[in-house]
Amino acid sequence: MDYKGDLYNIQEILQGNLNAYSYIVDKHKDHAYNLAYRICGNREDAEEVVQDSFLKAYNSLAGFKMKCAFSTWLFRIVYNTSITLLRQKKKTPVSIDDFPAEYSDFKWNSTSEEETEIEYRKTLVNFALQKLSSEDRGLIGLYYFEELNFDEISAITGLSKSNIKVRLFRARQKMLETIQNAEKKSIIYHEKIN
Amino acid sequence: MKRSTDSNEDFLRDYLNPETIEKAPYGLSQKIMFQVLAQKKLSPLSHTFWHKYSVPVVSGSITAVFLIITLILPHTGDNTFKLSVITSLVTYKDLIQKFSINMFSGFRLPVILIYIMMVVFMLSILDYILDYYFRRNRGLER
Repeated sequence: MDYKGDLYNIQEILQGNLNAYSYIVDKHKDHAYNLAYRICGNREDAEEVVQDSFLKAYNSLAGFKMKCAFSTWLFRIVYNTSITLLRQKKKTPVSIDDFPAEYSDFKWNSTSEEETEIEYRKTLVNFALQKLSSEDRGLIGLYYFEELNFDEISAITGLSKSNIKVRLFRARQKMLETIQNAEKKSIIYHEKIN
Repeated sequence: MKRSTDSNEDFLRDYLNPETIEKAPYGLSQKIMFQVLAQKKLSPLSHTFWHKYSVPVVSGSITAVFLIITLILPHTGDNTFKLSVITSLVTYKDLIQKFSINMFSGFRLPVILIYIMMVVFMLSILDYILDYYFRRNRGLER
């Protein structure tokens, strides 16, 4: 992340140049959206979280002490806002039966076998993610998609490094189990129709 | 960044690819900036110095006013005030003229004032704790 660029833009905003905030929004929106999407599991909630988070960040900008990167601070807001939203909505966990078992379902709107495979895997991962708690989904998003280290994740989530390692390990185990079950179900389905 | 791995980590690498991050939908930046602009019209950067420090400043001012009143009002000796603005102004004038450090030797705060100061102090701490707690829950902790 361009740390110096963020600091410059923040100073500009604090001096009244609102255009500088649009640079910050453009720069961080995809990563913020991706994290919110991984935690919330759907695009509508993720969009709501991102809008809310950028608004909160703007309102608190004068109090941002610049001890950490802006992205870390923003991720913390996105992470907490996502978890708060999910607690308010009290979403029920998805069932294994909810997964679209047929690999062929992914073929209809894909142009190549490779694209089908990517779409199938993306759906499978999102499905497995939804079997985790919202906090664990956030950890997976930060570790695998954003590729942050344990120190950064700890600063964002407020969890200790050892706790993060343990939770990631358990989340991986659970995801593996879910993915294997879903693939097994898919194989059984294909055996039946063949 | 080098990371330690466990037996199940590699399998997830096949599925979770940082290059496949979900991109923000088209127009999201405009929506955000529209909201920011709308909010700015209502309250430009609400966390200004006054917004942030108004509570401790007001609390401190109230405490200071009480202290000054205690100094300028004559003490009756039975834990009561002779509360009168005119009296206090007259006494204040006399006080300035006859000011001596020895005046404070027998000085005692009225009990009610001590209670008020304690309450102001405790409310300030409570306010700080609640502010910290709600900020954290709203994702604004720094």
